[in-house]
Amino acid sequence: MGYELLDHTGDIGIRIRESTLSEVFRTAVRAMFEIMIESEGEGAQPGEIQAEGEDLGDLMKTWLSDLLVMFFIHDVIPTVDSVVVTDDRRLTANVRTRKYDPDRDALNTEIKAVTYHLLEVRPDKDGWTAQIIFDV
Amino acid sequence: MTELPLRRISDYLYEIPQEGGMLVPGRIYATSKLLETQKQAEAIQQVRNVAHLPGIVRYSFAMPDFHWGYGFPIGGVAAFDSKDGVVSPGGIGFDINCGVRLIRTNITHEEIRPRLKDVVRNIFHAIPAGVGSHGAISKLTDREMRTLVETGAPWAVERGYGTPDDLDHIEDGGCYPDADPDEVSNRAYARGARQVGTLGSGNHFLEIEVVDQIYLPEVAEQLGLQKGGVVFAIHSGSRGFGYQVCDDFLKPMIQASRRYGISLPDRQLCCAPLDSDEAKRYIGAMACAANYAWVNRQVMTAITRRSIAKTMGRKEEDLEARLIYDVCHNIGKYEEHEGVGRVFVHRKGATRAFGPGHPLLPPAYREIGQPTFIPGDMGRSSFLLLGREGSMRETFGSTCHGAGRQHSRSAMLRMTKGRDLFEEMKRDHGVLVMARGRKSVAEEMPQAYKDASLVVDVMERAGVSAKVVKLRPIGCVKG
Repeated sequence: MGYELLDHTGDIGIRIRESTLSEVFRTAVRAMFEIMIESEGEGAQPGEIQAEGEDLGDLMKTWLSDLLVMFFIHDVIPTVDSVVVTDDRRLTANVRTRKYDPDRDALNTEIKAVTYHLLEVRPDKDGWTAQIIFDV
Repeated sequence: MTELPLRRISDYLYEIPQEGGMLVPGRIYATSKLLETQKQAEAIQQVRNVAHLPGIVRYSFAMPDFHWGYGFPIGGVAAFDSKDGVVSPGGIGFDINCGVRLIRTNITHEEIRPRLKDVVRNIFHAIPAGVGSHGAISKLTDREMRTLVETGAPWAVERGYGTPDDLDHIEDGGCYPDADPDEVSNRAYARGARQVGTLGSGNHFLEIEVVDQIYLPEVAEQLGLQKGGVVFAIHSGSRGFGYQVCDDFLKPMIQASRRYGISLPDRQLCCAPLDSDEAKRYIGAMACAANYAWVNRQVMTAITRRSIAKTMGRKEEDLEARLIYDVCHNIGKYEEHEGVGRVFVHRKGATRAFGPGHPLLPPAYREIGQPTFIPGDMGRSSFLLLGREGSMRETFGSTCHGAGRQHSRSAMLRMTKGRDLFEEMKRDHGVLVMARGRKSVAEEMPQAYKDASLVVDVMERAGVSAKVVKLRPIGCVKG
C-alpha cells in the first residue's frame, strides 16, 4: 500500500494503491508534497476542506489542485487526517496545516499543475488504485 | 502501439497520410535519425490527433525537436481558420509564453573569463530562480497586477526595467492585444503577484554564452555579434500565473467541446470554436499570461544588465547590451498567411520565424528576416537563426524551439546518481553552473536532450530558417 513514482517523459507521475478510497485521497496529498518538499513535519493548524468534481478522477484533480494553489498562495503544507468521499463526486477532509519554512524546508521539485493525463481513480483487486501525472 | 504509416517526402520531411477522422495530413520535419519511430510513437499519434480538430488548415505540423505533450505534442504547430476553426489550450501549453531572448554585449570572452565566477554568482543572487521563489519585485497589489497583465513589457519599461528600444525587439512589442484582466481568476493573480521577476525551475535558465562560429557574417555584424563576443540568454515563462490560467480553462474547454459537438480523440485537445464566448474568454486570459511572461523576461533582463555591469566595473550603457530578439515558444495568435487569410496559429514548443519582408518585423529586421534563438542543452551549443522566405510557405512562419528532451526526469536522476554534476559541467563542458538544487541540474544534464544542431539543420534544409551564429555556453544560472 502507499504510492510509487512513475517515469513519464518530462514530468512526474504517481501510482497509488490503498485499501480504501479515502486512503487514496490522503496518500495522493502526501505523495504530492513529498515530491515537492524535502523536510518532514506535521501541521498543527486544523481546518476543513471540501472539494467537488464530475467524477472520481475530476474530484482527485480538483482536490490536489486546490491544495497546490493553497501552497503557492499561502505557503501552507497540509497533513490530511481524514477524508470522506460521497457520491464519487464530493469530499470533505480534516487537515492540519503548517507554514512552509524556508530555513527548514528544502523545496525539491516544483509541481506546477495536476494534469488530466492518464488520470484514474478506480477499484482494483486489493481495494483502490489511482494514477496522477503532475506537470513539473 | 500499432505502427503508424509515415510517408517519407524527403530526407527531412515525413507525412502522416490523411485518413479516418483526420481533416488534414500530418507533417513532421525530421531526419530518420531524429525520428526514432518507436520512441516517438506517442508523439506521432498526437500529431495525428491534432489533425482531427475542426477548421485546421493545411497540415498538423511537428518540428524536429517534437516530443510528447499534453494534447498537442511539444514542437507542434497548427493553424485554424478564423471562422470555423478552434482554439485549444493544449496547443499553447501550461506555461503560456514560455520563451527566450538573446541579449548581446560588447564584452569579450577574454574580458569576462577572470570574472566569470563572480558574474554568474552575482546574477544568481540577484534573480530569484528556484522552486517556490518569490519575486524581484515585491508583492504587487491587485490593481498593479491587472495593469501589468493588460500592458505587458511596456509596463516594465515604464518602471525602469529596460528601454523602449527593447520593445521593438519583442514579438508584438511585448504586448498581446486585447488582453482581458477580467478573465483571469483570483488564484492566478495570487500566484502571479509573488513571482514577478523570477526565473522558475525545470528547464528554465539564464545563460552566459560566447559566439563560437559565424555562418552569416553580414547579418552577424548587423546584429552586433563577433566571434568571442559574450551574450546572455533568458529562458522563462509565465510562472504560476500562466499555469493557473491554463488550468482554469481546462474544464470550461472540456465542457465547450461537448456543447459544440466537437469530438476529441484526446480529452486534452479540449477546445472551443474561435467565434465562441469560451474561446474569446480564454484568449483574453491567455493574452494576460503572455504579457506577464514578457514583463518577467524584461525585468530579469534589466536586473542582469545591472548585475553584469557592476561585476565588470563598467557603466551599464557601455555594455551596449541590446536585445536581439525575444520569441515565444508557447503561444497562439491570429495571423494573416498567404492563401488562407486570417488564421489562429498555435505554436507549442515552436517559435515564430517570419521571413524577410514581413510587415510585423521591426524596421531593422524587415529586410533580413526575424531572428530567433534556439537554446541547446546546458552543455552544448545554442543557435541564433533567421527566418527565411520558405517559413511562410512551409510552416506558417514557424520553426523549432530547442533540442527536445530524450530522457525522462526520473531516468536522468538514475543516470546521474553519485556523479558530481557541477564538476562535470565545468570539466567536460566548460560551463560554470549555479543552481539552488542539485536535482534540477541532474534533470537537465546535456544527455537528457537531443542535439540541437541536428534539429536546426533540418529546418535549414527545409528552407524555413538559417543559422546566423553558433553560441557556446560558459555560465548558467538555473532554478
